[in-house]
Amino acid sequence: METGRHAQQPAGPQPLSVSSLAGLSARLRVDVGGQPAWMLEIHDGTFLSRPAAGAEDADAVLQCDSEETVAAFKRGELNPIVAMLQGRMHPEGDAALAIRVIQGLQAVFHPPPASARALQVEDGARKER
Amino acid sequence: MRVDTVSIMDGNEFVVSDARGDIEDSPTDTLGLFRDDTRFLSRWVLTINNLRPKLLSTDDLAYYRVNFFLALATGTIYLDSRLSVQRQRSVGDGFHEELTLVNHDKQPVELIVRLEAAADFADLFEVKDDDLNKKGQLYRRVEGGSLILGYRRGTFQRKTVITSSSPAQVSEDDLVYQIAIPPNGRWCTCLDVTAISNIAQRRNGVEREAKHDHGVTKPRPELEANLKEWISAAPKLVSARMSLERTYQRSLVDLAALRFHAGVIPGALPAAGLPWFMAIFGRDSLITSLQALPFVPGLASTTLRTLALVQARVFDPFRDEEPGKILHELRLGELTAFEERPHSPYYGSADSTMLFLILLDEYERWSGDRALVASLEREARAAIDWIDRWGDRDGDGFVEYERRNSETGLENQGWKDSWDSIAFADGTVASTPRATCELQGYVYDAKVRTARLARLVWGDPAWADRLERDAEELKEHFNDAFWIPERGFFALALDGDKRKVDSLTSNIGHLLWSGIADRDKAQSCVRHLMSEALFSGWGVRTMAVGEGSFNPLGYHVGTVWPHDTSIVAWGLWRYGYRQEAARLAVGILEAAELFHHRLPEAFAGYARAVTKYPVEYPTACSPQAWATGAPLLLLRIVLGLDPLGDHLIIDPALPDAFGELQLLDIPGRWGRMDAFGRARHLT
Repeated sequence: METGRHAQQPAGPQPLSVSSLAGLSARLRVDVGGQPAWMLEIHDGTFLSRPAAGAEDADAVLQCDSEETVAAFKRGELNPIVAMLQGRMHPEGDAALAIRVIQGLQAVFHPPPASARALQVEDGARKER
Repeated sequence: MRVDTVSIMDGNEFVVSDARGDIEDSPTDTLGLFRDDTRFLSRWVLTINNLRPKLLSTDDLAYYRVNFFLALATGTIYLDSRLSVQRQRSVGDGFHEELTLVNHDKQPVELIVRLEAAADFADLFEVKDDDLNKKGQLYRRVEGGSLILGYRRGTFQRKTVITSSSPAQVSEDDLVYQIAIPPNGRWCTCLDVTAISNIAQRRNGVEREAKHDHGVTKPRPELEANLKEWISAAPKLVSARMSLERTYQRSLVDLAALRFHAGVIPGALPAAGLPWFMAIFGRDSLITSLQALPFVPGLASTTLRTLALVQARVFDPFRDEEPGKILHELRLGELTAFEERPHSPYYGSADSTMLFLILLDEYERWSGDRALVASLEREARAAIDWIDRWGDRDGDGFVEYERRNSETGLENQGWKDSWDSIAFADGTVASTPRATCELQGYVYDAKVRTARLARLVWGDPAWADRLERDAEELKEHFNDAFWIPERGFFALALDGDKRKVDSLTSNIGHLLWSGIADRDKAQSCVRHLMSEALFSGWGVRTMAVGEGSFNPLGYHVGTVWPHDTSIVAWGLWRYGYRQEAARLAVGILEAAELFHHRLPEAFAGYARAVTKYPVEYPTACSPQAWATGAPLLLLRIVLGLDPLGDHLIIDPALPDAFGELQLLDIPGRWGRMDAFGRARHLT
């Protein structure tokens, strides 16, 4: 897999483990403004992103209307379904795969608390501060 | 919704008009062409020589097609009309309408035919709340002989394109035809009203441009073929009681009509109901799929895969989203797109996650489709994690809910989700967080079933052991904490202060379905369920007569919901109370006959002995998916159908009222099986 090749490059980016992508191996290209921008390579729950080398083959393509849309998603300010309803993102090819990947990536950028009880503890600590 | 409306639909796309075929939006009527939770056409009015043709009859040909027969009135009863008008309409990417005028006179006639058109692009929530306040720009223009009605708010775009096969004078308000029809001649035009949005990937993969099918006698032939295939794939019901067969057929057709093709996952899942709930609902889609499993199993696999795809991954209070939770509702309209509503998706459902696990197991039991179960292992584990880590908020061992979105979130997150549904016997509404009893039953059942799958499919016996231990501990704890000994039934809920909410409600029947109730306690619950306080003679009331909040017209505090009764009957059956289950089946199926074979979502909780017929609930959705599924589940129950390994157990307990019953070609892991049953005196 491509992920493996890139993972072996010592100076390159290291793959991230994403539990919600466990069991999934696929390639998702992200185009911005109609131009290939990023390639996300997923191999059994690990994922690696790198600049796309042109219109590379992929299982799915996520079309984004602007860099700002991508940035807002990464900041956790843009829900992916909202982005699709607004016409700012849309999947092509294997749409289910694209949705699964971007849903999963939400948790990478914004890891949730471990549980409701942990959240209450966090909230309590925040209030005390 | 007013009574004299005519609806045609296909999934989340539907057209509601008056009986003439006209659409005039008003504060009181939900008329229009709707798609993706948006009204793409709010005005569609036909006049001929400035007169509105009068209705002769409406022919509801199929769920997706309707004929309106009209005539131009002469203004006096002494002169016959000499012009007949026919509007044949079918839904699909908007709708297609064939307008035919026939001149019955011996003289030629000159006419001005006008179709007024407008679109307000209201979000369905704006229609429902009668609060239309568009923040974007509406526009209209004529382009290449077509009328374009559009709405734009930033990148959010929706458009309606209206084209005609006959030349028309097209303005921004209407299409006008100046025509002459010879003696005994006819004139015809086709109109395509196409709804276009820039949402992600369309269901059919493309945005259809307006097209003409002039001369095609049956528009949308693929829908007709698909419906035939759907019906022929389902088991055949043979009964001496014709009305039962009609109810069964109606259920199959309505389920076909409610199929929602989300486009991302192959296949369809049931939308919840017309007109307000033509969307993906976790709970509704899951329960309907459970009810329909022995008949149309394909709904279950699509429901499971679709809900798994959008299972919550993050913590988001606005959407009441917590990792592992299964969604409550997904909407596609403007208010959702701009986060004025949280439905993208909204996760404010405390039971969908357990129901997801229950359906996953029940689906495997019927279909033997282990590949699908294997593919959803991660989601099943995440669902169990949600129950333990998030559903049980305070670590007391019970799942409870309290909305995090206090502005637009749901106050009640069980199936009885109206504000006053969880109340004490004196009528006081319970404080939050609320741990309703059926949620605990669902958790018990979900863990027992997930344990089975863990052993059978996922090869994790240690996890299975742990799940079974958890389930047993929960059962013991629940039977202690929820039981009200002085009244002899389980509390509706524990409130925010862990007090038992002591109203007698139908929820106790769900406990039988889940298997969490101890045998001796179940017996006492059965007495209550079959008492005059809960059983109206048609079905089980949501709340018993005599409770402080009881109202026979209260949405969740006294009405009868057919799906609820079908689940209660399933519970009775599970605990061996087959005669009682059969009585409920007879009540609901006889009510269906009086509702023209289509059960509404709910009806009034008046006693059958008093009214002799079931009284309608004023704003009930119809068709409603889980009401449509109720007759199917009741048939399963009276025939005693249950898988055992690769075999189908058939153990009928038919009421006298049903005589003999045959259900042929029941699909499942055994291939196809036939079930026969005949009434006998039940003991």
